[in-house]
Amino acid sequence: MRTTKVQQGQTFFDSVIETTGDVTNAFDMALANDISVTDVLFNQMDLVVAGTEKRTVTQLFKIQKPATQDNDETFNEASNYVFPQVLPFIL
Amino acid sequence: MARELSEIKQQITDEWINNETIQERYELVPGQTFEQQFSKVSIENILFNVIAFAIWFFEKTLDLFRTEINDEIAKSRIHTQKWYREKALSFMYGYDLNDTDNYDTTGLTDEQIATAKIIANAAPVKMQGYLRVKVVKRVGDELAPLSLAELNAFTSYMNYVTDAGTYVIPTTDPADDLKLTLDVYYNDLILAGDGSRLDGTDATPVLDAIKNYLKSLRFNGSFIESKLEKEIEAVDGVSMVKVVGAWSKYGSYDYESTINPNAGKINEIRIADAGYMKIDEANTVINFIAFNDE
Repeated sequence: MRTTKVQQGQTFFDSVIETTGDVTNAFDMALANDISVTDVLFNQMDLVVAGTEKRTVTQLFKIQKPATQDNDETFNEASNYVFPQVLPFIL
Repeated sequence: MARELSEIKQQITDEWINNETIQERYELVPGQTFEQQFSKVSIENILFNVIAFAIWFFEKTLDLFRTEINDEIAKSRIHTQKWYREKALSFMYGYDLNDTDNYDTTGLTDEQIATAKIIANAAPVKMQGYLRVKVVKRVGDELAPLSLAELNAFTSYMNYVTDAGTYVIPTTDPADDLKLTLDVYYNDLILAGDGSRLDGTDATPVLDAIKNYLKSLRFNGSFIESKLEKEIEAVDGVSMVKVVGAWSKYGSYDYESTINPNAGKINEIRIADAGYMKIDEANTVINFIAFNDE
């Protein structure tokens, strides 16, 4: 049973990606920790790591850990979010 | 059964590229797939990924719900092993049944009920002519055997609530001892020769992983050598692990015992007689060998 500590600014999904490298492990990890994926985590909280690890991805996050719950208030407000362009976007 | 995430996404993207209005506005080429016409980092692809993930997650939740309901049904079917386990877990130390087979908890606080329910885990095992129920209580963070008074009360309770003719013998024992001999191949940039972390944050990461693995086992569940290897390999700095030997003992048996299949040398799988195991640190040997696979 591997555990991890939640870092500053991390959401549950950030923690899943950092430790297992695959977002589909979110289900197993939520179950193992008896929490909801949308629960607000606190800094240094212990989480049980569950699911299958994709090492090629987790290696990338060893030093630069994902923390998408940025402190920048502009991006935290869901109502502030707008699409960068109008659909359709032709690439 | 929940569909695969890729299957859900495929369904959405197929619908999307086959829509005439979409084809016209995006100037799509008929016959080409979504992946061929949209970049992986396009907002459309990301949106569909998120939607597919949400649907997949919901379907998985429904699966879990179904499993839980089935489990509840199985528990409520009387005289199955799960029912016996439920009955054992419902035991309240120091309270009277008042001629029924259920406790009357009227007037008791949640805390009082929780304190009285001393059985932390139970596992019924069918034996020749009787039913053995392995039970333990929790002391702090660890599992521990019941005291004699608790076991006597529990024995009376179990033989009272179960049907006439079934003879229940509860047992409660200290954890089986587990002795290991391991070869741990480690990355010498992270771990030291004694297994401690070089940055000083953890002195015994391998031993902690073994303890965590034993704790994570289901009560009366199987100890599996190769799963232990995997758990230890997940420790940062450990490259490879080999279980050279594993032994367990309980009661009057020793590690070299050959007469009891539940004691002595472990051949890959072992179910602890007490239902749970603890590592015998004094006799466990962990050989740390520096190894960098690069």
